[in-house]
Amino acid sequence: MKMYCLRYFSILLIFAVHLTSCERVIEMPCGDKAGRLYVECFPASGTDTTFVKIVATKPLCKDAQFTALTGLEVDFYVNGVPCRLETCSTGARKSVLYTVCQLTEGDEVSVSVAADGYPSVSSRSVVPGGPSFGLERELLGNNIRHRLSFVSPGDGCKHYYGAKIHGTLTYNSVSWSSGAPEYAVTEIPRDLPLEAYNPSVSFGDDIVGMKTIVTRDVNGGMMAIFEDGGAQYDKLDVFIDVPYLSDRYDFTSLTDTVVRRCHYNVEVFSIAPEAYRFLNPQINYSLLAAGLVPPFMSSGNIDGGYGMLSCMGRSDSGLLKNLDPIP
Amino acid sequence: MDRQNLLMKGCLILFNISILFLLPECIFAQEISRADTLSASLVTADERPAAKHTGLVRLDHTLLSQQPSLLGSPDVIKVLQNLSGVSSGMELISGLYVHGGDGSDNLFLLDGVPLYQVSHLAGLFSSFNTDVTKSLDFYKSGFPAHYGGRLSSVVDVTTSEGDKQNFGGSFSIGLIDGRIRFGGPIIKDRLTFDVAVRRTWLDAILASAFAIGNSGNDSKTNGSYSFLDANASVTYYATPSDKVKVRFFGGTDWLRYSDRQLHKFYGTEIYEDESGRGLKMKWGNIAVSSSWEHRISSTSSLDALVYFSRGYSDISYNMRTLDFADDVLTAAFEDDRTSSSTNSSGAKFGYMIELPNNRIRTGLDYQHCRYAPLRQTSSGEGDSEASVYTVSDFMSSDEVAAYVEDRMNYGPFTIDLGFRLNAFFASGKKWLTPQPRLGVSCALAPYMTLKASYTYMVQYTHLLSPMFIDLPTNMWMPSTEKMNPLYSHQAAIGLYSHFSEHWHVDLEGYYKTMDNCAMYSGTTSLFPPITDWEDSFTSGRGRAYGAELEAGYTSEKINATLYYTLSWNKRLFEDMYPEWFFDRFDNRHKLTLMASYRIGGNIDLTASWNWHSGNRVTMPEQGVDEGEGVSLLFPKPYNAKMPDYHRLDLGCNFHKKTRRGNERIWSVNIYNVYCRMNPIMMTFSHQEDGSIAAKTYSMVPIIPSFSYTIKF
Repeated sequence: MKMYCLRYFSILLIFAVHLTSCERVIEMPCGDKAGRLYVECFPASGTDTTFVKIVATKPLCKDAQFTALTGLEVDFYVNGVPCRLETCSTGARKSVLYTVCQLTEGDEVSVSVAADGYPSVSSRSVVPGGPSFGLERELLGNNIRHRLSFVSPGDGCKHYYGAKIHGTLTYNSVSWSSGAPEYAVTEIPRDLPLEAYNPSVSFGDDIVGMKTIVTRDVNGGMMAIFEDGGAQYDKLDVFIDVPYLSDRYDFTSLTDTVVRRCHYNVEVFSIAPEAYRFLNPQINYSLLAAGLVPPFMSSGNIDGGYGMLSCMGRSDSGLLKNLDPIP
Repeated sequence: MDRQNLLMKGCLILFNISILFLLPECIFAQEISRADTLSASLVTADERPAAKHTGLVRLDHTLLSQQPSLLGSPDVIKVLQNLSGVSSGMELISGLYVHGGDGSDNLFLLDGVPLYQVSHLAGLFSSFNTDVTKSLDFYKSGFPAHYGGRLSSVVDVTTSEGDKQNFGGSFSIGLIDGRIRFGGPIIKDRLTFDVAVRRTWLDAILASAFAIGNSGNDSKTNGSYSFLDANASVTYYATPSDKVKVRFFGGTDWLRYSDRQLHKFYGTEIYEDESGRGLKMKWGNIAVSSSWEHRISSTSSLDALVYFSRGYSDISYNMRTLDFADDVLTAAFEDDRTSSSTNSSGAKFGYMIELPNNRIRTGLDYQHCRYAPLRQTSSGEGDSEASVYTVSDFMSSDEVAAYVEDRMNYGPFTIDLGFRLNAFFASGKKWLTPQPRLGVSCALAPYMTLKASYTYMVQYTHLLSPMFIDLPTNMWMPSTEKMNPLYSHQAAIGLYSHFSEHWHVDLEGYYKTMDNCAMYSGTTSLFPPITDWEDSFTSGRGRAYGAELEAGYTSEKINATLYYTLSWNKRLFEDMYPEWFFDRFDNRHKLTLMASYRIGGNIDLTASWNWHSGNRVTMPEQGVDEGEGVSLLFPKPYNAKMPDYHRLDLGCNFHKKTRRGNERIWSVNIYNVYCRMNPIMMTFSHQEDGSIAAKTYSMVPIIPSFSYTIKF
């Protein structure tokens, strides 16, 4: 329910405090002088690759010493069986590893991380089932609009979802330069920026600007994250727009031709409530600072550290061909 | 000149005394006559209410009116906030956090009728008009069995009935509100009435300001706020043994805002239309009751009460936009409405009998409540049919309670044994809860009493509040299968002593546990969810304990009281944090010094100094830097404390008798005399050197005010 005026009221209240108030900077005692490990990992069923992101946190103290990430040991288990991890990127503060491991519903994933000078951390999660959804597509200007539809399972509970749209560009080239046709196929994955909308007025943008649909990077790709209305809804519709690139037939030279085709795959994930709160905290930090709302904890579910390990259940549309351009 | 010198001397004395920490003031009535005249009298320990019950404070009209007031309006809740064992919460907000409880677990009764909306303007003022407040009983512990339904405190306000012989009243003008009260006999000694009205004129002030701002502009912005309280009562003394009362209370707030702009569009013809948005809010409480008191004999009596109480809020918003294309002007609109109401109707019956060593009181209460939250959105464009979306969740509950109390006197011992049995029906479920109440007192000496108490309290209704301030968007809902009632156990022990006719010292300790406390864990929002609201709350436990010291000095001219509290207030919400953590209003120390000094018969000076440990905030302790700025991590709730709070309030009342025998009172009050900018919020930011900088914001400066009152 959009109520801009009351949103302005809360903004006005906070603005008035800032304008009319006395401000004073005070020194705060240092809480935790030791750094911790921050881990993000969102394994999903049906996907090959799972990324594990590890970041060294910085204690917010003047005299705290930062310890670089060295001696990093990361263990990734599926049902107690270790999966091999490869390094994607590494640095003094952050490392990203990945594993190629097929997950199915019911698998238990556990992660433990240790590094020199940091307390060890660990967590575990079980892979849920993937959600059922309906999909319609239409071309709107320069975008393809995907309409994802979800029907309430009737259990009276709220459900949380994520959606990704992958694109693949396939170039089929034929070259007659040697007299005989030479074929080549090149596939290039496309990172598609998402714009997600929740058209329902009942639980779209919240009154103080908290969005119930957001996009952020999850497990190596942009994901739209959203929630349904719980028992108060029967059907949820979400729109996700991605840029449209038409299929094309090119004469690159008198003897060479290239056909470019675009394919898409829509993945939808079921997300655990704690993971949704982690990915979309929906906290107004100004109201939190004013002491007007309950405290928000960002510890996640990583024992001994911060971050989130939460498995997601995946369903997908399969490979979808491109839409024909509007004549 | 003599009068001026006297006034100067009085101010100088009061100033020096306030610096040196004034002698304690006894602000509650030990005897009604003493409270009215401020003349000294000897009061033995067992006459004082505090000596009969732990945690009981009794105030009367005179004492309430004598407190330093904000903006010229004395306020019941703000007086209670000064007492020991009560946290003030946020500055200027009339929250009542008693013995570690939340603001929603206080029972507010107006002549026995429960109220649901007790504050105006987000808590700046309470709904209780001190002009008609005859007496106030405030229980922090040791709750008698005839009270139930809330965990932490009972604020039982009794209003005046009108004089049997003479007409009289008062008229008062303050900076932002005015009050008038009139009462007297309709039939002498048989039928009396009392009426009081209080209203602000903020809307008149704002209207002028907006009119000036709007002049010459195409866009018009308007806003206004006002509140109105009305109390009315009729009392019929049918016989010397029978008294029938009919009472009415209505308190309402209105808030309006609109922002409109006139547009002209030029096509084949000139089109004119208006776009903009508007907001209307209305909230308040209505209470109607009728009671009958019958004295059966000199030792027994009956009382009956039937009532209706309605707490409500109605918030509507509309927006209108225009679109002009192809020579067609189309208007689109969106209307949102959120309303909630809690309607309760009930009856109470009580019987009391006094025997040689016993005073037995028994009774039966019944209450039926209806909860009706509603959210409706409609939108449309042009001539197309509007789409309407409605969410509502009507619920009802029934509560029956039977209680019995027996006060037994055996020599120096007095035993208060009470038992309350509650049955609550809602959402297809029922809860049957026995609630024992026990109090024991022992007169150690003529001037000293030792008292202990234990109470078990249950609260079946929950205040859905996404924020910690009292907003009209909050709504009451009953317990459900997913949201069980709240329970508390509280034990208290106190030593009450009255060493001389002037001095008294009370020392009290308490320990309280709370179960099924609810904390909002959903999306930050001004509106709580209507359906599945239980999913937005997390359940936990609370624990509070502490010691309270009250020391007072009373004489003909000087009353001074010191209140000191040493307390701990903790919570455990395992869904949020796995260990016990301090609550946001865990103010370890609290000290209040209050004093009044009467100069001659015409001038009285009042002063109060408040100090308490700072409220708690949640501070980040770690940061995550992935190259796009540092994200702050909050590991533990309320892990930091804001700077201590302290302020000094002074007041002066100038009394004068007019030739007609009326009394004129000029009151001058200064809130926060030395302009201590106490922080009300704290933000955190990450500095380049890696440290965390905390910036505090303060808003309340020195606030002088005055009011003029005529008593006739």
